[in-house]
Amino acid sequence: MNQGNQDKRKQRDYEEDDSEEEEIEQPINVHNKGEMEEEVNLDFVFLDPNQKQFHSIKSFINGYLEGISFKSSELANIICDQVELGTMVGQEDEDNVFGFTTILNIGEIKSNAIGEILHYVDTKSQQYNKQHQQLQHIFQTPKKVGLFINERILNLAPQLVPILHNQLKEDINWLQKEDPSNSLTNLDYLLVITKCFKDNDQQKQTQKKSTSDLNDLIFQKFEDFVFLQKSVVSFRFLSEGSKQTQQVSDYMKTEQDGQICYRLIYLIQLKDYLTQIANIEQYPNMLSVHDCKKSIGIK
Amino acid sequence: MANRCQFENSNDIGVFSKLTNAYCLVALGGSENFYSVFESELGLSMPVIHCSIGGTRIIGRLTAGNKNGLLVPNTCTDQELKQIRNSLPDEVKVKRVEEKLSALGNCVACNDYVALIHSDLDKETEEIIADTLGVEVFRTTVAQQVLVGTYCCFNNQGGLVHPLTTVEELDELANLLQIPLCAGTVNRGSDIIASGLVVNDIAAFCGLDTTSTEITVIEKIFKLQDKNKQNMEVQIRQDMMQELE
Repeated sequence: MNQGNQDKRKQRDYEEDDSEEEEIEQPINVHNKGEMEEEVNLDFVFLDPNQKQFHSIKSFINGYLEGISFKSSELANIICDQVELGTMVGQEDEDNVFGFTTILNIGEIKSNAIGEILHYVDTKSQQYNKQHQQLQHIFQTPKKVGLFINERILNLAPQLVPILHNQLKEDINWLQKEDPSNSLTNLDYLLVITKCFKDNDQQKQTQKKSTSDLNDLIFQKFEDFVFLQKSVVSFRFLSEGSKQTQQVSDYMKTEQDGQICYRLIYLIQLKDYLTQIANIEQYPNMLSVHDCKKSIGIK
Repeated sequence: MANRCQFENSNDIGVFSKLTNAYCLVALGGSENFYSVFESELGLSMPVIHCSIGGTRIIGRLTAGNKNGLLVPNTCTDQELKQIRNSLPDEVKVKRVEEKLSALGNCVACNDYVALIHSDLDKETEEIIADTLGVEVFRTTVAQQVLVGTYCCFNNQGGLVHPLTTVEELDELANLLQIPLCAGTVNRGSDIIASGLVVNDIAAFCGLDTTSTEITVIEKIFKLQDKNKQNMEVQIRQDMMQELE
């Protein structure tokens, strides 16, 4: 069945004139300390997943579970093999990937890696989630839940992000037309595991209302802020730093320049995700360099 | 024997550890799995030392050493240096090197007799290497890459180099080092040999993604196979020759 999908995918490429591989020229202004503005033109290419990108993808998902050892190679393999749904952004003729989005059906895929991730979510949910019952209820039909993996390098041009998400939307639409029996078309919920920060001094302030609480958080990926507003279940917890060493690797740091790192897990309905994609398009233009820094947790 | 292991989901063993014929350095913070692989293979024959260099865990890429000595960069703090000195056997000389190119593990590849160094390393550093490690030093490149410590890895019996090394270069290097060399990859096609692999004369450790073909190549070139297996192979070959005759 998978083979059939891959063939269809390739067919689509030829028919629709390489719509899967788009070259986007993004003139990016470089401010050079009061000197004349220099425009640097960069070409990015959006690609289907393929095995050559294995090493890049593995390096992105190594830290997915806060440094806890899990079968990340298996997961990277699964992502690379799922050609029908998933988009990578990179450069022409290079196997390095700067970012990617994909959705994996957790009920369909038989893999130890997925099992380990679900176990992690379940354990953390038991400890920190006020809506644990709801989460468990949703997971009773695992074939309706998709693991939404959205990783990229920290300073990837924000203009590329809405395109990554839009591609995913197009992939789902295409699948619904071409292969409606595919498990990925019948998803109800998306599970997202991500990161956010909070300023250290705000901890000392009195309790705030839940709506303004969202505004206190600094998101590493700005679209999380948009999606979180429509999430059905969400919870966050302090990121566990390594207890054995003073210096820890980035993804395990509990404090970063006076900011506290949290892991954020939320469930969003697929239809809400698809509608919210339109709302993230306004952000890249709004974000100045300063805001970018703030939104990704750097002072 | 070649063993597969992982340091916190990373297959870059050579980044987080340093293996020689007299000692083994490992980074802090790894899971017990990682240490147990090293200790079960090496435990009794040599000390396995937990340390950090300059507060970082990338000790494999920052240090260069063999059974005679260990060189650490100037980013290594006094406390760390003291700890390493105390944990190492007395025969091993430890020296801190003031060198602009501080990632010594990337700039120097060595065994107990010969060292290959980065073309831009200071003359002073070259002398320190020759003196502390007790080796003959050669400035060279590997597959047109100056970072010799990254793209090749060798013990006293054989060596593995970057897959794009030409045959002429292989011959030249083999001549310099006086050991057989082979071009290959580790960790499922990665050409950064030394980050995925640590080796000494009795054992090798590589990332979990390393394919069985790569492991076979590693075991063959570094001569890590069991003596029994080797004898068996020789016996089979002799028998086959006899049959043909």
